[in-house]
Amino acid sequence: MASSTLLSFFPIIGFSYAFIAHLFFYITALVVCLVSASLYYHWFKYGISVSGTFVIMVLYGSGTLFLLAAGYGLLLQL
Amino acid sequence: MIFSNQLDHGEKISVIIRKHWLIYAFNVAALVLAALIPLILGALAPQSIQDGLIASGVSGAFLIYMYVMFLILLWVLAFVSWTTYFLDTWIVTNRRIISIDQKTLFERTVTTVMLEKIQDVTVRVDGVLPTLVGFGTLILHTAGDGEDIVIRFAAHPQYAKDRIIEVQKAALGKMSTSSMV
Repeated sequence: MASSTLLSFFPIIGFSYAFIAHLFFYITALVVCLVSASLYYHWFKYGISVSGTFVIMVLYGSGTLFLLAAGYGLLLQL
Repeated sequence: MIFSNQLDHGEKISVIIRKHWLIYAFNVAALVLAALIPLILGALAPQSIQDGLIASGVSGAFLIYMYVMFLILLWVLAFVSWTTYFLDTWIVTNRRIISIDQKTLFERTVTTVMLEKIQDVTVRVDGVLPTLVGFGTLILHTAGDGEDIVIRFAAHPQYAKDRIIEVQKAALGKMSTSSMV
């Protein structure tokens, strides 16, 4: 595991690289979820057309999920 | 119908004015550039730095992971930017002008000016790019103490000005007819 050798990067705070990476992932995922919820709220609330909202939702949602899944897949390799 | 929830009964949208799409394209270009910077830096980094990273135990998976996290943030930013661009709108109806200033996701100012309150409409196009592409500043001078409505980077400002004047004439004509009766 790279995490043991990566430990040297955080000698002062004493956290492993993998721990930091996990923490970073979950914070990012939380922020993405909150921003996504507010984006969907705005798209529905302020009258972007139904078909337009659907297209944007699919585009945005698929891109976000793909990147999050890729991030998580890489996280498991650390 | 777009923005139908902003309208009163019997009110019809005459024209919707937005900032020119080029303004959003500049934002996207900046985000694409930001996405490319780590790749360029990685390619141009001296061999000694790359060797140092490998020696310190930084795995390739970790670097790609950090890059993917960065891409997620840029992806979300692109849609936040699009949303504020799309909702930053000026709606001209047969009765009034609704100015929606969407600064961020949760900062929004909505101003309504009745058509009869508009005294002058000014179009200002400064520079080569705005002239060629067709965007500029549209200023609606209002009567009384109300602030003027200033639309920066408005797409096709001359067309918008013509439509506003046309709608205002129609509205004022209707008002004078009803007052005579």
